[in-house]
Amino acid sequence: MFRTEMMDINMGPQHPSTHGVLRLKLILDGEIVTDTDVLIGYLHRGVEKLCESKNYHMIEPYTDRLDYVAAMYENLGYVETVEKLMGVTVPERAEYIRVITAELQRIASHLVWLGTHALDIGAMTVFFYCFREREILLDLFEAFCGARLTYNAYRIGGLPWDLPPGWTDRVRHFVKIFPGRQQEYDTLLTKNRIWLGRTKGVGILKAEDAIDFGVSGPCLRAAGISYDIRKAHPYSVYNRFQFDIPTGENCDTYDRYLVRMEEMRQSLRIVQQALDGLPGGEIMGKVPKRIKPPVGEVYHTVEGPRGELGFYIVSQGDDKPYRMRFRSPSFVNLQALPHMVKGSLVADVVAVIGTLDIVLGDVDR
Amino acid sequence: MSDEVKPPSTPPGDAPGQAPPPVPPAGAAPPAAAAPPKPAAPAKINLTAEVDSPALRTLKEKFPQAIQAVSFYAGEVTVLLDKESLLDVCRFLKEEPALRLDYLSNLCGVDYPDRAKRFEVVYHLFSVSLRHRINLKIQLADQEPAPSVISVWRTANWHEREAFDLLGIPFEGHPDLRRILLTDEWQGHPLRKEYPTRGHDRDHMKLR
Repeated sequence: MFRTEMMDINMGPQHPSTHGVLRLKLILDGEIVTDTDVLIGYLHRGVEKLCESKNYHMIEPYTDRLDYVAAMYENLGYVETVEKLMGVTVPERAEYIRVITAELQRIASHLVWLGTHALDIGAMTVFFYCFREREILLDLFEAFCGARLTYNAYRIGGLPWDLPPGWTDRVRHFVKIFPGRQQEYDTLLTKNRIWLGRTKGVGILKAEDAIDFGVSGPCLRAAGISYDIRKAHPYSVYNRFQFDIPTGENCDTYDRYLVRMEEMRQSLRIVQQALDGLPGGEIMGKVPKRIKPPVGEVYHTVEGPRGELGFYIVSQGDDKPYRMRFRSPSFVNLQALPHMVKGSLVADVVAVIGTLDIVLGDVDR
Repeated sequence: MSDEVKPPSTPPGDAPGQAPPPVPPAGAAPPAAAAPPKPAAPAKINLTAEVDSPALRTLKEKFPQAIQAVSFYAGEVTVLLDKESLLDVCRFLKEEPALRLDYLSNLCGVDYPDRAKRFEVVYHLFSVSLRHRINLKIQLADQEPAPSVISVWRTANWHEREAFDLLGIPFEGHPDLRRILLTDEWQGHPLRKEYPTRGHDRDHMKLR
């Protein structure tokens, strides 16, 4: 007589394909996942608590360390929230430079996603190709703000530095060469039979479930919902640029791959337009040295590479926030993982973690 | 210890009062130089201006007794609700075809230890199809449970667990209320204002 019973398997926190210190407790029936418990918090640094004892300028470096793969976007969301809280207007040149750097950051972030996602599934070459292009971007960021990963690149009210000489030409060069490079990833993956087999129909997340789980960003758009905060509530100067929102149909890992690939092309379009329209002039608005927003609270969202990046600040009129809350897209998206992997194979869990594109620094804060 | 940068003698005033001095555009006399920041202030947006919100209008019609206060800030509408009617209001806001607030953007708690009802739970709602927002709030005393809204939006699950973990707000009707970011053995709730930033039992750790 055979005796069958469920098996509990711990995946992570030290596992190469969990993209950090994520621990999944899988309950398996043979090789089929019947239930998943997601255990997070291994990278919890209590940033929200720390922010309550720092003044507004001192918080920006902390935002870098949340989503360290897309730190520029965390900076953007944070400074915009404080600006909204204070009612500050930012000079146009600063807004354009912010958009250029933020969109380059989106490409850099998607390159990390693509490289690691493909690596997890077994396509190693793509990883090297992606990091080759990401290197160019990191060099650009380094020339702009001196850092390659944790930028602290913006200031409340504008920018600390103008662009270094020759920087826009280097960006133009990147804009010129990148489509060809992206063609190479396309050739390697888009019609690759193994890639199709590993991603098509895997990790299905339907639109109604995605909305119910609060999933945002490419994962929501791959479910057919054309919702992008850059279009829905244009912040900064995004309403001046022409770009499309790619959406998927099949709600699976392959569609999320296609959506992100197209997003890189659209980001490139935005960068190109912003470079062409880059105005001159001031880069810093009229902001007091000591930031003391009036009593009030705001919740501001920006469209980060992973989805809705929300910042909730409660101000009591002090120079420190009374309460700071980061609504991180990775944290919320990760919640849909048990739903997405239910009934699939263990190997597909790896694909789903990759397609959710989580950053554990962002999940655990 | 103090990580705050203290500028020499800043009066506890509003931000516009301390705008940097090098602003006068015309070569004006010193008394006029003090004036330029002043005209800049009215040019600023009125942050607490009232804005029109379809959700607020409908709420005022349907649940007049549930609304305790309404506030506006930077174009956002925040409605302070009666705790008892929160679930009904949430369900209504999600299902009402003219509002369809089907997306819970964010849920978090805020601690105000000086108040009789020390906790606030804030719900940031959004409608993916109709693209409008509204914020809801309830107030709770210490250990007073908040109604869980998981039955309305599944995403509330982890948000509520986090509020329970970091602030100690219990959620009534939550199927799996345990700590999420901290370990199960953790004592205390770090986001409470009385919790020291460096943590309990960390006195032996010295900062350089």
